[in-house]
Amino acid sequence: MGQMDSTEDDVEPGVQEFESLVHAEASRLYGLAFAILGQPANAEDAVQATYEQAWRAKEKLARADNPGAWLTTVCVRRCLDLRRRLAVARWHPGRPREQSAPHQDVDALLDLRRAYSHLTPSQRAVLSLHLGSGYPLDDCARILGTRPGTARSHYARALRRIRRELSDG
Amino acid sequence: MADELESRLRRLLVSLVATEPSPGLVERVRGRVRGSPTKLNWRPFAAAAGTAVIVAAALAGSSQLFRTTPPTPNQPQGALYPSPHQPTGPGSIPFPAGAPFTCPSLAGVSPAIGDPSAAVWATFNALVTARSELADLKLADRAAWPVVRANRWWQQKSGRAYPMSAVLVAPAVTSPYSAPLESSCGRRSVSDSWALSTCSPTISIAQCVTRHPAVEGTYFFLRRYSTWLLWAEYP
Repeated sequence: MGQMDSTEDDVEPGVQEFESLVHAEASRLYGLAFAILGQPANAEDAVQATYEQAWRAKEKLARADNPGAWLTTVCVRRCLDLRRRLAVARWHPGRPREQSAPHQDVDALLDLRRAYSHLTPSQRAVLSLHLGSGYPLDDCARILGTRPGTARSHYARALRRIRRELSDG
Repeated sequence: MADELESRLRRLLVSLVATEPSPGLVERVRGRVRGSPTKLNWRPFAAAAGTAVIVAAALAGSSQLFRTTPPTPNQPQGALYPSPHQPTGPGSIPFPAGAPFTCPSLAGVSPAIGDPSAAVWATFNALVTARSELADLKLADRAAWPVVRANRWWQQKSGRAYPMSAVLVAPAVTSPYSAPLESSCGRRSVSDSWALSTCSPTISIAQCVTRHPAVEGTYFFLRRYSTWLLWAEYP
């Protein structure tokens, strides 16, 4: 007990609170990053970069009404930045979790995932935020730093493109 | 049509955003914040920092392979890479290049909680995309270090991550190769492990399971202090 106390005392002020935030949000941010980037290593890079930025701005983060939303915004924008730098990297249409359910049409799910993988990063970000995480499209626009009309346009184009790919077979 | 498509997409995306990170992510982030030397993932800085910094980081991190204390106060006491032991049973696994076969220590090893497929898959992809001996060793139990070194994996790998559709992750006891491992290293080494088999991209998972249990290779992972580590491969 004493050992733990002395260890904790050595930690820089604010670290404990920050680590609580890391623990609470890291999995959610990783899932979002993975849905946008499609590769585990890149998703981890994005999450780590998000937390590094958050650590540098920890005073600002401490004053934020909703630190989770702040982190989400940083993470999504990091994903888009990373995706631009890794323009050659492909989104891997891996096996979705539902495949283990016997009633699922695995081929249809894989087709859907493949079509999703062909979307632009911004389109994937809007779909992931809106359909995967439940953000209204106006909030998606705020997170992406675009106008609401632009987010709606990304969303509509994404659906059109997926529908076209699925109908083309 | 749009409603149905949105509904299907929602199901897909909810499952995607629920994807769990590899077990070490939180610890790595904590390590960065606390200034601890657990900087296993230096890729974001590599391009900017240049080769000299990469080498320095690798050298600094190499001491982690031999540490006997946890990287942060929040990890359980115990070494992440304890010494392996000689096989105790009559079984024998021939390793390539004459590498000696050893069994993993069970210190700190615990069964998976829930379905660890995604975590095992992520660890495996980290292995196949690692670019250095040090990075390979960090993802492997000491029992696998001889074969990692003998194979010089970091020089041979394609560097391409495997999509989950090209691998099969299952409890190690279901692998046809678990029997000799159990015979050599004991029942718990296998019962607490999970096996990942890589399948040729030209066949489906179903074919891989039913016709080719391990088309390319099977890799055995155990979980020590929440970290998945390779400890055997076959063939």
